[in-house]
Amino acid sequence: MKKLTLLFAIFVLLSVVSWGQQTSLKGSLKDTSSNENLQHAVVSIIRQKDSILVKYTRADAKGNFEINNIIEGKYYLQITYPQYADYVDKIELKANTTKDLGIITLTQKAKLLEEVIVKQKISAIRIKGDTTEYKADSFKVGANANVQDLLKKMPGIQVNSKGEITTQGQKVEKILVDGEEFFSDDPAVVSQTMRADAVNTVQVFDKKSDQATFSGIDDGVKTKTINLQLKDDKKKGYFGKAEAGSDFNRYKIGKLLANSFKGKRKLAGYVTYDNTKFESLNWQDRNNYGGDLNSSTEFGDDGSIYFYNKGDDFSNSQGLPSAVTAGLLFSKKWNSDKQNSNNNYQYNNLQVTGINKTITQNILGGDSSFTNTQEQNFISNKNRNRIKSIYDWTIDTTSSLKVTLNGGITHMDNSGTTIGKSIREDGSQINQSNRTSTSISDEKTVSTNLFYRKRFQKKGRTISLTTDFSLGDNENKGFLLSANAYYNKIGVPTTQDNIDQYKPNEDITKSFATKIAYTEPLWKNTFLELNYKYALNKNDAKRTTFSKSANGNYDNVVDSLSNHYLYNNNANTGGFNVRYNGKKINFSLGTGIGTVTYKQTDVTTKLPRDINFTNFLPSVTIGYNPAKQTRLNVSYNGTTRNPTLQQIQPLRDNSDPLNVSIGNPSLQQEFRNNFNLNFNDYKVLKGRSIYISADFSTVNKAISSASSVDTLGKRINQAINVDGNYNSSAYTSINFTIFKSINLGFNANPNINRSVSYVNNKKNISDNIGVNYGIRLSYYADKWINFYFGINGGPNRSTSSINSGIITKYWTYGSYGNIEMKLPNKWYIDIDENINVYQKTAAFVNQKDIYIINASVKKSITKDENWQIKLSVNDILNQNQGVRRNISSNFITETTNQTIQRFFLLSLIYNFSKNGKPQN
Amino acid sequence: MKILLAILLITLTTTAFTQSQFITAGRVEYEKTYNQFSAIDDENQDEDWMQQLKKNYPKFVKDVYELQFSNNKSTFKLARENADNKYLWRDKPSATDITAKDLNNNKITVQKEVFENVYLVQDYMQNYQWKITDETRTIAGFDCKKAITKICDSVYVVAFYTDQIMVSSGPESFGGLPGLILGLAVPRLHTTWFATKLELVTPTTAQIAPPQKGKKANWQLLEADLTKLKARWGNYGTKYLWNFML
Repeated sequence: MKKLTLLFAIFVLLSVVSWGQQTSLKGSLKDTSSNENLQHAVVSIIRQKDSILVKYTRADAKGNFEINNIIEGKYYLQITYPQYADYVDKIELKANTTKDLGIITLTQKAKLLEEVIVKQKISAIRIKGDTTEYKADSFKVGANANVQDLLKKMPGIQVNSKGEITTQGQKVEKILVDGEEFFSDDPAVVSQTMRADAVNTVQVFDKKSDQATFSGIDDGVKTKTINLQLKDDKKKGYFGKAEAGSDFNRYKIGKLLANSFKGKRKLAGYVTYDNTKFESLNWQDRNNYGGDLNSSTEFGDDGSIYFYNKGDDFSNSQGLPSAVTAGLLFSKKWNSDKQNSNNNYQYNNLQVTGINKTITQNILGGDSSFTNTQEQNFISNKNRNRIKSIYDWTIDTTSSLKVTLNGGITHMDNSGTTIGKSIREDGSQINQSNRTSTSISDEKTVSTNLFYRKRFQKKGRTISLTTDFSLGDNENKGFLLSANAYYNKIGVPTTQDNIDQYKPNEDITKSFATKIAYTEPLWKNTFLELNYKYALNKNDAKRTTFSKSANGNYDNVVDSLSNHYLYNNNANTGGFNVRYNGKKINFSLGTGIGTVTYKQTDVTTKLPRDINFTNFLPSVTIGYNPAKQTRLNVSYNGTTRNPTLQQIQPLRDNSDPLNVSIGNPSLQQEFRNNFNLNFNDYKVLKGRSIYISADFSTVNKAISSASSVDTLGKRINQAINVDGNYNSSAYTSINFTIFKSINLGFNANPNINRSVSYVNNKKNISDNIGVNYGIRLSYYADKWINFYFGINGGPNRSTSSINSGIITKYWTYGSYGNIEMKLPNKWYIDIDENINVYQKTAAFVNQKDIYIINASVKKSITKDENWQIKLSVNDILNQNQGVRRNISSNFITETTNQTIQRFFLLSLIYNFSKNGKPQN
Repeated sequence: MKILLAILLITLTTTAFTQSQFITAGRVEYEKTYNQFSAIDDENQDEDWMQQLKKNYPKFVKDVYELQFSNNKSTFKLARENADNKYLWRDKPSATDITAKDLNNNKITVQKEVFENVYLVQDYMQNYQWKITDETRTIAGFDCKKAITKICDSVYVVAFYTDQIMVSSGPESFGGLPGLILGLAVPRLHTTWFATKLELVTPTTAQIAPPQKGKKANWQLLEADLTKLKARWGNYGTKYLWNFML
């Protein structure tokens, strides 16, 4: 209470003190002509030096006003009343006095206007409807002129000293920039947008009121408006990069990339050589110089975006590469961006040498289990030329058309030698195989896609049509030379087979697919989609094997290894789905019915075989968004998969004589039930995110394999349909911002899978269970240092019913990390690490742990960062190895590939540009 | 008879005009327009996928807000969702945000959804320093004067107010001018609010009552929480900060 009293006392004291410097103002308002007493007129006190409103009041019923507690100073007195001219006067208020202004008279606007008559004649520049258009470039202004300078030059437009613009005798009330209203009050915004040379056209028109525009009913209210249409892109220039690096011994890279642009036309090209990696263009290079023919972007009706990226042999493979890449891009947009054409050409040459080692543990019943080891040395040389062309046409505001054309010609030379042997569990040898295979192949492909969409006037009613057509021709000529020896248990050779064959093959594929979809709004937020799809796939496969005849020529057809087969499938699918988009809940449910006919003809035996399948393809998706950053999605759908030609063509493939596969013409379509759950929750202010995703699928008539292994260690594989397969996996993670820019995350990813197969006519059920746990710490603040570091690990367990005695259990551990530093004097340091550790098991005794560390130091040697020197060391500990383990059924396979190991590289980088820069 | 009726009608309407010349209670609809392409970084503007994105989204998103006022109290909130809008990054306007002002006591209560939090800011009105200009514009049939102020030290706000509507309020938390703000623009956020119509209906007490829900805060606390975001998100964070401080 005492405190309060004290506070009160201070308050009183303070107010008395301030009262001492303050002043008051009073007066009375009249309109003599109409005798109105001007109640509610606004009387404002505006500071002279900065026009800031200090105080205001409204006049009482008699027109009197009084303002108290004004700090002494110089002011404008402003009095306003609707339909009356504003009254403005300078006043000076002195401390401790009450200024009485007496009676102030206001005048009606109508009276003032009677005395002024505006007449003006305008000569138009170009008139489009009720719009006058000026072409900005036809009026000469200085280099740094602003828009007002430009407007001053235009006939019929006047700009006064206050910056007010009048045209055709009327004041311009609105200036729009590309349709958005522009206010010149914020200096930051003005400097961004308003340079005269950025303006393309100046349009002057009477803007209807927003209400009239909206309702289409003209209420007669119009505003003089100027719209400044900015130039699409006034820039003309280029940018590019040259890079050369070497270890002065074996490794070299060279890159030259350039992009020149002029408005909306872009021409880019590049040439690269690299023997340190497969893909010498990184993501950024591909983005800036148009070298990305593998990825595509698609847009859904609901505004969703999908990125697709499919890699190929040229971008990622095993072995030691030496790659040349060259490309050209030409793109152009015209007709206000309504038409867009994008054309890409790319040439690749890739030479690879490598060594692959494979160890396979064959888990069989009884004591017949054995381990096979193979070592393959290979060399390949591939050349490819390909093009991708996209033409995009926005026909009008409701319809659009997109045409994509892809084509490619690839020539490949492959050769390899393989040495392998199989060892029984007791250590005795079963077989020994040596083989050499060579092949030359030529592949030509062409495909087109056409996509048309139209939106109707009724909101939500759309129709879309997409059509795909593709052709492929692959000719392959190969030679197989193989010697295989088989031994009995005491090590005595029992049989020997030698193969010397010539294998010319040709595959011709044709496919056509078209889909039409129609969407109709049923009621608010609810839509019905009807769709129909037709797809036709035709395969014409000629496989011929010739053995050497007595005269030494390959002219004996080996019937058991030759076949000419036609495999067509013909599918019709029709369906519907209902979509509902609510505030918090949205769902979609529907079903399709699909029939497919497999038409197979063995040209050699003239044996036709037709099979029909009919499937329901239901799908349900339910989404729930309880809050903006929280989302739960649950979905189910049924999908089918057709067998590939290789799986279905009734032919023995003996390219690995100890591992022969035979096609199965009675294969059926597989049907998959997919369940998916996704949950994410992001607390932005707290900096916490939770993400959970879980998938489960079961497969009916899954396309699996049947293998039989004979006592000689020869394996024969055939695709068959089985029931009982399932896959389940989950990804859960939680991330926190623990301090400013430091994030800590945990994740756990379990998976449980079952696959059914047949081994020596016995059913084998393989179960794999594994969990991977991880912790990740990261720091990203865009300051001098950024880093992330993570460790993960978890157990794996695998069993096979055929040999229930063996349970394979092992842990895998790993770590990854990166640290980036920007140091003074333009030094940049980048270090990353990657560790993979496998627990030793009986099958993988020689498994190596792999610790990889890469580091680079970069220094800009010129002020503008255009020239840079970089020293990088790859795999400092010289341990890199490509290792893959596969424990799928009753075969446990480990593959080790030769990879590039330690090397250093000293490179010089030159960035050049004019008026432009690459995007990051 | 007809003439008599006409005279009567004219008299009635003129009386109505003089009475309604100063408005103290009613409901104003504002159209809020946002150029959502402005959120795209300049350097990304020309990227191909961005071009595609722009084709699939409208440049301007428009939403209708309403200001109800009576007895020197007002509330401002979303009037209805615009089903035609397609928002980039799904940045939908909040349907629960409400700004209530008690202008006699210079007090404001704002219920504001900021990501996962709902704040209830209870504080005095911000003390805007309005610079009065002599520019005028007619908005929804009212003659308006232009005034300019700054928020967050540097962000300019342009307002058009009419002295004919006596409540010293406006969109969002703005006010303090001798009349109602019928037009508001924040050029740096590429956002404008313009009144499209005025209805002379007196709102009920409930309609202009301050909101109750949310985590209690004041301007200072809200700004402190948002500044953390600014530190984490840099440029984007700053824009969010400005937006939430309107």
